Amino acid sequence: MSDRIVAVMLLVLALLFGFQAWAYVPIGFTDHLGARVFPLAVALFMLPLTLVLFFGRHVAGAWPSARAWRVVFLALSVLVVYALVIEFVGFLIATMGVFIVYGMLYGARWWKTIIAGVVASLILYFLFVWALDMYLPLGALFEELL
Amino acid sequence: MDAFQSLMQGFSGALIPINLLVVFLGVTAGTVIGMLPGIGPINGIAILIPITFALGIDPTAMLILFAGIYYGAQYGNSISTILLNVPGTPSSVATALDGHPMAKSGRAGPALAISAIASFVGGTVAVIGLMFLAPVLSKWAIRFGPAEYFVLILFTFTMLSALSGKQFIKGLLATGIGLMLATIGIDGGTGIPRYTFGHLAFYDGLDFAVVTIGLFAISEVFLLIEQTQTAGEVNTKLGRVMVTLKEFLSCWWGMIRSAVTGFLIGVLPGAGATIASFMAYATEQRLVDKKGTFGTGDIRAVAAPESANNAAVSGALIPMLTLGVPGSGTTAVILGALLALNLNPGPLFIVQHADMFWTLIASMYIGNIMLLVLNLPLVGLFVKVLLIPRYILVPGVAMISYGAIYAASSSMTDLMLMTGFGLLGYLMRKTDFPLAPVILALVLGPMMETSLRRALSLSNGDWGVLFASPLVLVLWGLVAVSAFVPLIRTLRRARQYNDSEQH
Repeated sequence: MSDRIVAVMLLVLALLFGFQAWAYVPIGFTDHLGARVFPLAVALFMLPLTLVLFFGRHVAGAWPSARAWRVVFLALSVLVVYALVIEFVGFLIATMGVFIVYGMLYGARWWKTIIAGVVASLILYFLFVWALDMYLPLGALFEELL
Repeated sequence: MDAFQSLMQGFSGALIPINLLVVFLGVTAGTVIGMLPGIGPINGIAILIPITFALGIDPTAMLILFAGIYYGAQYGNSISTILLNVPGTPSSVATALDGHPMAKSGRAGPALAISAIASFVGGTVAVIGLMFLAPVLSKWAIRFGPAEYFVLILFTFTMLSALSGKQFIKGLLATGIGLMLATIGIDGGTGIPRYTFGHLAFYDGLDFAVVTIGLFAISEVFLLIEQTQTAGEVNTKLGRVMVTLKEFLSCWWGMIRSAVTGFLIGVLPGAGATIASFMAYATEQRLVDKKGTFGTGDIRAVAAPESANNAAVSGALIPMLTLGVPGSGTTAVILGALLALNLNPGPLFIVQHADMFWTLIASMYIGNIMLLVLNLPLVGLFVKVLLIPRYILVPGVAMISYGAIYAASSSMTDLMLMTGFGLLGYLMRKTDFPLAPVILALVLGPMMETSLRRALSLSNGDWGVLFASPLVLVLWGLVAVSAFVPLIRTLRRARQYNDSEQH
């Protein structure tokens, strides 16, 4: 079943991709290939394959349990939040947060996750900023406070 | 003699302190990366790309570093395979068949020792092969015009799709997804922005480090966190990590045979270390397993696949270096990094960048010796890494990835994209889609379009140029064979399946 859903999604994707490609007509000078032939070819390559996938043989895969989905969704959300807040709260706080939430998902003791978060975020910060001379934000929040 | 002189020059380049340090860092990182679940060589290299660019490391050192991680990971891989029965990558699955039974019966030490020795034999044979075959192949490849390149890339796609996943069709679809991603950005030929939807961030195309880390590392984080129970007890008391002379001699010819097979398979596009190791295992089983001890902890059955998979990874560097067309996900990432530095591997690479090529070769001899030392007397230190609890390791992998990408680009969009590709990778793994073809197509897509464009301008718009030379026809033949053999197999299997369902 999951294969059929994927096949339909890829079919729609390939169609949209192909239609969009049609619009890429260069103004004035163009070479023999132009801008739309290659993406159109990719779409045409995908279309029959999605049909084969839809009508072909299907193996019932091991689909994750509801609990696994919840855990993965949570893990994903944490990373989205991380990307959203890193500039504001800074690398250290954001990284600690990820360690603490992931630690909780693993059922580790809360104080262990906090220690892991503090130590690991400091190590990473010094690795990137001090040893590798790259930039990581300290956080707009703290810069305002200072 | 010529090769010998060049090699000596290579050694003079590789033996300068900074390059020795880079080799050492590469192979050590490779060993650790290969051991740990969640980061294979492809992730390790992808994470290091933004860092090495930011540091402005010399391209030769970068190539040495990435190659070191690539072959070093094959050594580390066998450690977790033998001790935990958890192969870091599929290329060690064949090693697990006898390696883990050996460890369970208290012979972890000899199993680790022979796998390190076999890896060394495989790695060294392959470097010798690389040294002699690469210049020959690149001389031959000079004849490749743009039409040949176009079809060659197509051949690489069909090979990798046929060999990398459970289903050929899904490999091809994964290639298609990669090609779609590759068209995002300003088209080199016409200057038209494609699939950018007005976002400036997409004008340069997708950053393949972001895509690679997302698809592989972040999706692996989700896979690992899905099973939140902690891994079983690790026994880090290994005993004496050594083999007897008798054991060593019983493995010797098998290691040599497997190294040669592994190297040749590695050179083929698409067929990599996994296929090499299984072929070596099967060959040895047929040749030497008279008493039927393979599968119960036979030391020869550990030596053969370990020799083959190490030889295969070094062999896989050949098409990348001589043709500029990699045949695997990891070599595609290395190529991507070289392209970003405006180095274009191809037939002229070995001539134009002779110093770089020979320094790489010399560094691989040195690196394999270092790995033998790291993996024999010092393996006891490395296994301690396996004791890192999952609740530190898993967020650690995620945060190194996010930190590296953010530190390099300061871009929230990149972090979001990486997370999105992490989800895509997770869903693809869950639905049995292989990931390597996506990366290969992402890196080779622009090259494929450029080759087509050049071929058409040479022929003044005549598409017949794609069938005009004997060489290109041979390549089309290879495409047909690599595409139709798995298709026929799939169809036949489908018919059997239908038959059995009706009965």
